[in-house]
Amino acid sequence: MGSRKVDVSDNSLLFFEMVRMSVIELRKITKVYPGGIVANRDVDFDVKEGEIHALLGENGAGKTTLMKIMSGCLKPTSGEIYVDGKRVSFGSPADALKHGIGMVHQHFALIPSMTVLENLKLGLLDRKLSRDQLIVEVNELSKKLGFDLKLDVPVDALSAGERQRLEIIRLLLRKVRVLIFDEPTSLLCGPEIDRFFQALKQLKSEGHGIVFITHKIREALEVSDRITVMREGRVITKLKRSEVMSEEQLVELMIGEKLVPLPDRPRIPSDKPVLIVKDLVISDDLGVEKVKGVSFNLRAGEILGIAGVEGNGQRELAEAIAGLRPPKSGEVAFVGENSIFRPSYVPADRVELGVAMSLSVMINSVIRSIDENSKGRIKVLDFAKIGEFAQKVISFLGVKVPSLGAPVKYLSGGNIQKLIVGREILNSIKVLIAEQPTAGLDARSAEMVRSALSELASKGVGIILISSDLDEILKLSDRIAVISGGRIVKIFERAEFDPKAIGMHMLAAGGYVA
Amino acid sequence: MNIERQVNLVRALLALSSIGLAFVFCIMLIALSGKDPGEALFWLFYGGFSPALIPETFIRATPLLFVSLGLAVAFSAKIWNIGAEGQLYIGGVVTATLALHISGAPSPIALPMLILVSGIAGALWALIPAILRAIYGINEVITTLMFNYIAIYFVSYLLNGPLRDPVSLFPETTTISSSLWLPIVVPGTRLHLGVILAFLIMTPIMWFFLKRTALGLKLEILGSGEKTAKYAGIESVRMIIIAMLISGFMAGMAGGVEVLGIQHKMRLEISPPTSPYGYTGIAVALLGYLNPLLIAATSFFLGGIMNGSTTMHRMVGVPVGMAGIIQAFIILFILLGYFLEEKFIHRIIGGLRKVEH
Repeated sequence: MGSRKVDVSDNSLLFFEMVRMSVIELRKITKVYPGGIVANRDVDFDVKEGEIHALLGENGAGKTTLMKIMSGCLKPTSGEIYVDGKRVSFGSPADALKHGIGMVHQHFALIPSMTVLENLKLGLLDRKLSRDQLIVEVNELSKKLGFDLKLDVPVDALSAGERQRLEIIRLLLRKVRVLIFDEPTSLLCGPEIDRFFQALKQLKSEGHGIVFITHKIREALEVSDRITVMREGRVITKLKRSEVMSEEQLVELMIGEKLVPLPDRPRIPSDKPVLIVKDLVISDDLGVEKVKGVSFNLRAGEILGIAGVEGNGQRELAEAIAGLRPPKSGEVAFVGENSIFRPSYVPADRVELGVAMSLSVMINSVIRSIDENSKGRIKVLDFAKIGEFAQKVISFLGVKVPSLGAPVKYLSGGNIQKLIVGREILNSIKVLIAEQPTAGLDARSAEMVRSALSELASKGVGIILISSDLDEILKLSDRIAVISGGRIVKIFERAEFDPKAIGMHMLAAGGYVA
Repeated sequence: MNIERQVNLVRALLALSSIGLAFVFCIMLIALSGKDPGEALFWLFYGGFSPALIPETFIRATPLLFVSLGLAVAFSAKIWNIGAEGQLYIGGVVTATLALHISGAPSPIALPMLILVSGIAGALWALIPAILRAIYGINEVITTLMFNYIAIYFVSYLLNGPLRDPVSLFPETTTISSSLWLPIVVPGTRLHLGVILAFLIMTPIMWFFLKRTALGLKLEILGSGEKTAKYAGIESVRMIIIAMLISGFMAGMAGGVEVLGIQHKMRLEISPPTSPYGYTGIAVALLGYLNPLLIAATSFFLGGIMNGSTTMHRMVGVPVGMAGIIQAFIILFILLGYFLEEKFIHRIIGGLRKVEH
C-alpha cells in the first residue's frame, strides 16, 4: 500500500484526475439469484483512490448486491473483477480484504457482548499485533479521524454512530484502501451524520477510495465526487458531481421517466366500492409499525396503484388486506362479503409464499382452492377438474412447464411468477391485490400480464396494484395512492398523473425506511 | 420420456445401487470380523426371505409398517414426530391392560374395540407434544423424544409393579385370554389378522388419504412451508394436531396389534432393543419417500433384514450388533442416494431448461 500513497496536496487536480487509477474495477457484472431474480445486469463500476463515489438508486435497484460482490460476500454469476488492473476473484470477504476492499454493512457485524478492543482484535484476522501495539494504532487512527473510541466498553453499550466508527477503525486496521458503506446514514441522527461526513472527507484526503451506497440524493450530492445511478439492476448513468444539474434530475434518473402511453381500456366510472380500508395500522414481524393509519376505498372495476419506495408499508398493507396479517387496529371490509372472504392475491414473495415449491404445477394452480376442487364428504380431490384448471392457468400466460406433474421448483422464476399471476387472475371474483405482478418477467410477458389486469378491471374486479415500476402504475391505474413512511401521503386522480410529482411525494421526508 | 419417468428411473437406480453398496460394506465388515461373508449373507437372506420364513418377515414388518405409515402422515407436513416408540408402548400397555379386564368379552366386538383403543391411546400420548408444537411452537422433535422416555419408564414401572405377572421372571403382564388373540390367517404360521390389517387395509387407506384427499394435500402443502400454507388458507394449528394424532394413532396401533397378535401380553421388550420399531420406522418412512405403497415394500425389506440378521448371528456367529450395523449401512447409503438424487435430477432439469430457452 505504501508505494501507492497519494499526495493530495497536489494542486493540479485536473491532471491528477486523469492519471488516477482505479483501485478496483468491476466489469460486466451480472448476478442472478436462485429463483431467477436478476439483481445486476452487465454492470460496470469502479472506485479510484481518494474519491467518494456515491452509488444511488431506489431500494431493490441492485446497489447492495453489487457491493456485496465487490466485497467478496457474493459471487457474481458472470463478469470480472480487477484490482490494480489485475484480474482477481473473491471467494470470501477475507479475500477481498486481502486486496484492500472492505465493507461496512447496514447492520453491523460486531459481537455485542465483547468490548470494543476485543472486537478490534478479532477483526485483525491474520495480522499479528500485541495488545499495546493495537491500542497505539487505534488511538492514532482515532485521532486522525476525530473519533473518541472508548476501548473497554462492550459494544452493546455503544450508539449506532459509535459502532460505525468502530467498524471504520476495524477496516483501517486491516489496511483497506477501499471502504464501502451500505446506507451508512440510515441509523444515524443529525449531528452524527455530519461527523460521519467529516470522517469520510478525512479518509478521502488520505487517499482511500470510498463507496457510499444511498438512496438519499441530498447526501449523495453533499459529499461525493462521482455519482453512479442504478435502476432495476442496471447502471443508468455515471456523473461527476459537477455534471449534476439538480436534485430533480437525479430523481428522474433513479425512478425512471418514460412515455406514459394512452390508457388502453375503457374506464368505466364506478362509485361502487368493493373494499373499504379504514384507519389501518399494521406491524411487521418484528412488531415495528409499518402502516400507520391508512384509509381508502377501492371501487369496482378500478385499478388503484400504490406507488412508493419499497419498504414503506406496501407489503404489510397487501398482506393485511389479503387476510394474512392481522392488523393492529383498523378495518378491512369487503362490501357485500362476510368476514371469511379472501381476495385474490399475487404476493411479491413468490417462492416463500406464492407456491409450494416441492409440489406439482397442477397442485399449485389450485393451491388456494383445494376444498373447491374436491368432492364428497371426505373431500376427495377431483383430479379431472384440477387438471383442467391447471391447463387453463398454464395456457393463460404461456407458462413453460415440463409437465403438469413436475414440481414447481423445477420451473424458472419467471414461469413461477406467470403461474401465480395466472392462477390469481383466473380466480379473481371481486378484489385482486397484485404485488409486483411483473417482477422478473421479460417485456413481452410483462405486457401480457398488464393487459390481463386491464381486462380483469373492465370486468368489474377492483385491483390494488403495488409495483416498484412507476411506469406500470402510471399506465394501468385509475388512481394512484402514494405511500410513504406507512401513510398515504396523496391520492392522484388519473387526470393529475405526473411522474415527477409522484416521485417527489414518494421521496417526501420520512419516506424512506432504512 | 417425460420428466417424472426420468426422475423415477434415477430414483430406482440409486435405490438399488445404494442397497448394493451397503452390502459391499457389510461383506467387508463381516470379512474383517473373521467370518465367511458368503455364508453370512446366505443366512441373512435365508433368514429374511426364504419362502418358509416369509410369514415371519411379514410379522416383523407389521409393527414397522403401522409406525411408518403414521410417521409418513406427520412427516409430509414436516412435523417430525420422533415419539412413535413411546406412543407404541402406551398403545401396547393400554391394550394389554384392557384385554386383561375384559377377558370374557366376545371377540368380534372386543378385538376391533381393543385395536381402536390402542390407536386412541397412542394418539392421546401424541396430543400434548402436538398442542405444544401447534400452539406454542415448541420443537416437536425434543418433546416427542422426551415423551418416549416418560412412556417407556412409565411402562417399565407398571410392568415391574402393578401390572407385573406375579409368576413371570420378566417384567411383563400375564397372558391375555386366548379368545382375544388376533386370529391366525394362514394355519401353521403365526400370520395373524394384524398383518392383513397393516398390509391390505391400512396401507391402501393411508395411500388414499395422503395422495387423494384434500386433507392429505393440505398436510403436504403445510410441509412445503407454513407461510405458503397460510397463504393457501390452511389452518396450520389444526393440521399439525391432526397430523400428530394420526401418527400417534398408528404407532399406538402398532403396539396394540403386537400385543394382541404376537406377544399376547405386554412386555418391556415389545420393541426389539437392537432396532426399535418406533425409531426404525422413521427410516422406513423416509426410505419409502413417504409413499405408503413404497413404505409397505420397505417395511417388508427391513423386516427381512432384521430377521435375517438374527439367523446370520445364530448360524455363522456374526455378532448381533453387526445386524444393527448392517441396517445402519443400508439406511446411510440410501440417504446418500437421496442426496445424489437431487444432483442428478437437477442435471436432468438443467438439460430441460436449456431446451426451453
